[in-house]
Amino acid sequence: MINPELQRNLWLEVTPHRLIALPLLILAILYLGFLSNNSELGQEVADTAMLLAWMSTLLWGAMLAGEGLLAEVRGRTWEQQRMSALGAWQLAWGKLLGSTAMAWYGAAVALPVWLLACEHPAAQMVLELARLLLAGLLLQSLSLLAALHGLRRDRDTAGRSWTMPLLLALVLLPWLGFSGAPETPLRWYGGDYTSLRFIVLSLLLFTGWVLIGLWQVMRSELQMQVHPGWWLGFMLTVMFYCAGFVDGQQSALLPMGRLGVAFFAGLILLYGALLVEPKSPFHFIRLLAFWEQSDRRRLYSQLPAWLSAMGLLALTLLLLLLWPVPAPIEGRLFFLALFLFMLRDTLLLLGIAFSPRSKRPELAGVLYLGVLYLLIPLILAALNLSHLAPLLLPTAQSTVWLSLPAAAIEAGLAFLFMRRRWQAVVAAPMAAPQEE
Amino acid sequence: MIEVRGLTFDYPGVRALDDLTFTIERGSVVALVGPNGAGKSTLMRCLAALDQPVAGVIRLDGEEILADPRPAHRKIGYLPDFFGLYDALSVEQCLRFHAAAHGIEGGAQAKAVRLAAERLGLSDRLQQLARELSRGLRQRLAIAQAIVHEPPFLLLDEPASGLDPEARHSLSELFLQLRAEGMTLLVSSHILSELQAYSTHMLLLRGGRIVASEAIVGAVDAGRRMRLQLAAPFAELAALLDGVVAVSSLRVEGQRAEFVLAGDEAVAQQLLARLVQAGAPVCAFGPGERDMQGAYLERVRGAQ
Repeated sequence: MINPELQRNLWLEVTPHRLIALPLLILAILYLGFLSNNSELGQEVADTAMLLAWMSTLLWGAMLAGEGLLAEVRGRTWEQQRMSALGAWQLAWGKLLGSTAMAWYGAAVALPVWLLACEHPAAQMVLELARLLLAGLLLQSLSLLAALHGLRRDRDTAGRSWTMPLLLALVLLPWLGFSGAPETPLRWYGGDYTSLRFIVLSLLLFTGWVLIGLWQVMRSELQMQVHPGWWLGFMLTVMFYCAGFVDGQQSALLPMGRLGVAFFAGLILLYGALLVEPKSPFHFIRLLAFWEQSDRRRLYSQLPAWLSAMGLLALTLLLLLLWPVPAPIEGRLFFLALFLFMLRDTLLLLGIAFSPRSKRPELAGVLYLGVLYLLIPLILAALNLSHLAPLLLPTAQSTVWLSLPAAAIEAGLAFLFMRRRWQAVVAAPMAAPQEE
Repeated sequence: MIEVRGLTFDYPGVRALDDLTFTIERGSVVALVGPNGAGKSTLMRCLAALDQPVAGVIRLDGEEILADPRPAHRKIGYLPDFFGLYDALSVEQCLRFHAAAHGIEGGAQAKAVRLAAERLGLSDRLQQLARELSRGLRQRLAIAQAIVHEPPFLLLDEPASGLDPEARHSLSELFLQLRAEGMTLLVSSHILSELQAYSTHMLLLRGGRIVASEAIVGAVDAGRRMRLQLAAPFAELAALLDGVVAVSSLRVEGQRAEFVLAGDEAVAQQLLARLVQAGAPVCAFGPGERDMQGAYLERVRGAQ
């Protein structure tokens, strides 16, 4: 039996008008390319066909994937979907492939022309095709994932969630682009790869992880148990992946360098999770209630991703501090300062989110971080006081003796701020519902 | 059977459901009543496993639905108070999708779609797009979607909203029919007279707490609650009835009186004889069902 969610999307998306109009449009553009190329098929026409396929799957497809879900929320049909007996994975892939069916159809119209016109070797063409399919799937999954995440955070403002993957698509296009030299050498964990092959393998890896993430976030939306291990697995993969680009086979400090890069990659993911995930005090009150009831299933299922990320980063930090190589102490303590500044920022953002009047804590958090990491350093530089910048942010290993105590004190102050807000929240009596 | 134990649900700063414990027997039609904001919709959403409560257990036929909601959804039909339809799909496609999404395939699917459409009077509109339906027909389609998979347990939040009197009457008959077929219904509505037509039990919520959970018809009060109708005004009626020790909860409205009578048929016969002897123009005297409005007000006053 066909996946009911896929079937429903096909009913809605695939109309006779679209089936006829889209190929006409794409073929007309390609014909124009053909005429511009002296009425000959060639690499220029192939590139135009591939560009149309890219635009259809990455840009239009990513928009359709996120928008499909948000249209359901606006149309009040999403609750009925949540009431269906379809599994989370069934719902996720049915929605993903169904809502983007026309985008893939557009690519399917352009690709035969590309196959006819392309002058690249067959092996390269296979890789280019794989790159298109995987990049399209990755961006579309990411868009749906972002829409789901936005939905969990705030059902009223979720409409903007798919814009992020679209921006990401625009940023990634040059990196993934078809015009780059496919044979550019690339070293990763000492191995040599060509850039196209490496991109395809990377896309395969991360598309897999985004699909796992989509499945897990869909489970959460359907009130099903979520395994926190998936996020740690993803984080470890990203850390391991990024660390592979650190080269220098002869250096005894290579493991430290790779650990340092892994730490940075983990730190970026932690900040991402911190900004994206819900931080309302209500969420933590529920977690505490689950803890008191010894309801581990629901506790672990709803544990914030940034909290588990913090645990993994703490372990990485421990390795960086204790790894038995003759690394300078300042270098090691620099990561401790980074961790403490991260702790300060986390506590600060939680304190902001715990305010009863906080309406958009994510936005307020970004603003505060912008002030701390951008505005104040710029003011200090303008006043010729740049030497004071390490008091607020980690600048270099040489200034770690200034950064470290400052970070510890600021983290302590941020903790007091967060605790004060939290106590005000928990001390407030729980009201009965307002009846009319 | 639905068992709810210690159900507590919080919104930020508000305890919407406060330690609710109750049971809904199989085959009953429970009217969920209470003022706006009492927690009715929140309770429905928890029973549908759409929202996770802070504490409590909900069991459907012995299985905990909060632990794994998806299998439970095969057994539950839910109509939210604000629902949506896929406007670009036909009535048949809407019903087919909902049947398939609940695991009904092949020939069984066509049969389920036909039956649901018949029950809601939509058989002649199967090819019509949802966007072309009137408000009442949309409501009927939404109810058809909720029952297309023949769930043993049906949750309906304001199901009669938007329906004309005739459609409301048909809906009442449908609920009675579904009950007769073994379905258990929990229906939330503000129109108590309609709930009266098909409900067997009442669950009254106020301020997130259960004020009353009781049967409406059948054993409770029938036989003891009496109804008296006069053919002409009789000024002494209230004083006369009030003076009878066996009479309580007296309510006199014009030529009509309702009260609870302690005792058997002999006591009722003695009371009737006394009324006639006093010159009361009695034209009807017999057991009366307590209506839901009366039960609701009685319980609400009691809670205050």
